[in-house]
Amino acid sequence: MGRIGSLLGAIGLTMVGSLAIPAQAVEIARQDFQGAVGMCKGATPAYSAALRNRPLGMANESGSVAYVTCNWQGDDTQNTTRGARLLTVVIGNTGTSAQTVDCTLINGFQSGAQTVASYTPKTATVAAGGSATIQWVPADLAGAPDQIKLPALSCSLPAGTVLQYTSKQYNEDVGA
Amino acid sequence: MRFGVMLPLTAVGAVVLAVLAISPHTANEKIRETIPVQPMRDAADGLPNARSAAVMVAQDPLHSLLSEQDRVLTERKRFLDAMDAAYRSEPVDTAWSSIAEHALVGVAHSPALAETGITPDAWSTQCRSRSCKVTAVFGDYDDAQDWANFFLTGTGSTLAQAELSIQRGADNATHVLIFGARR
Repeated sequence: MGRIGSLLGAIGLTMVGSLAIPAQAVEIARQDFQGAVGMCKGATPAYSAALRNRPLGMANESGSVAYVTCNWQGDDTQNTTRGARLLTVVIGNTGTSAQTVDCTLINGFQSGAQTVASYTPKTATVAAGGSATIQWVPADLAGAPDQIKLPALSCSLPAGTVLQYTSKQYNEDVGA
Repeated sequence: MRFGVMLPLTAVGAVVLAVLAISPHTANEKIRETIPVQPMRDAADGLPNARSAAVMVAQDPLHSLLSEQDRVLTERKRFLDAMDAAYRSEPVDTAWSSIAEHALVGVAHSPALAETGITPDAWSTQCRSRSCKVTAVFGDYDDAQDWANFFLTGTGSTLAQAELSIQRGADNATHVLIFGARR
C-alpha cells in the first residue's frame, strides 16, 4: 500500500504539473512550391486563349498583355499559424527586350455582391532572357498583419513573358 | 512517509488518472467543434430519413458564417468611412498629387486596360499628399470587378497598398471605390 500510494502520488503530482504548465506549441517553417499552371489561369477566356500552359510556366505568346489570376491556399481560422509569411512569384522573359510586369496581391474575400479586399500592387522589370522575382511579406499589406491569410494574385503578363512558379512560406504547428 | 501524507497524494493521483481516463485530451490537443446534428425527420410525410427544407435550413452552417460576414462587412464599412475621412483631411501635396493622378490616369488608359473593352460609365481619381481616391461607376457588376482588378494590378509604381470596395447601389449601378496609399 505504501509503495502503491507513493507511486500514485508521484504520478498524480507529475500529471498535475504537466497539466498546470501547458507544453509550448512548436512551429516548423514550411515552403510550398507551386508551378504557375497549377494555380493560375487567364482572367478571361480571351486571355486564356493567349496563354500556353507548359509544365514549367504559363507563357503569354500573344502580341499583347494578358491578365492572369492565381490563388494560393489560405487559412483564415482565428489562431492559425498557416497564413503566409512570404509569397513569391517568378516571371521569366523569353523575348528580346526588357518587359515590365505588374502584379497585385489580393488579400480578402467576396461576399455576395460585396468585395472585402486589400490590394498590394508591385512592379518588376524583367530583362530580356532573364527572370525576376516579386515577393510580398505581411508587412507590405495594409494594417501589417502577422500573416497573409487569404492570398490571391492578379498579374499582367506582357507578350513574351512567362509566369513560371510561385511559392508560399508559412509555419505549421506540429504540437509540443 | 507517514500514512497521513500518503493518503492525500494517493487520492490526487487516483483522481488525476481517473480524469485522464475519462477525458484523454492532452493539453495541446485541439478539441474540434462539432455542429450538433438533429435527426433528419420530415414531419410532413413522416419518413424518418427524408429531409425537409426546414430541417436542412435549420442545420445549414452558412447562416452562422453569413452572420459573421455581416459583422465583417459592417466593420469594413466603418473602416472605409474612416479612411474617407482621413483622406479628406489630408493636405494636398500638389507636386506629388499631380504626378500620381497622371500615373493613375495612364493606367486607366493603358493599352492593356483598353484592350479589355471594359469602360466605366464614369470615373475619377484624386490624390492628396499620402493617398488617392478612385471612384468608378459601371452598369455591369462583373465589368466593375474585372476593371478594378486590372486597374489595381497596374498601379504598383504609384501605390503601395489599396483598399477596394465594390457595391451595387440602389440605382442598380455598381460603384467601385478605391483608396490607395502612396508608395
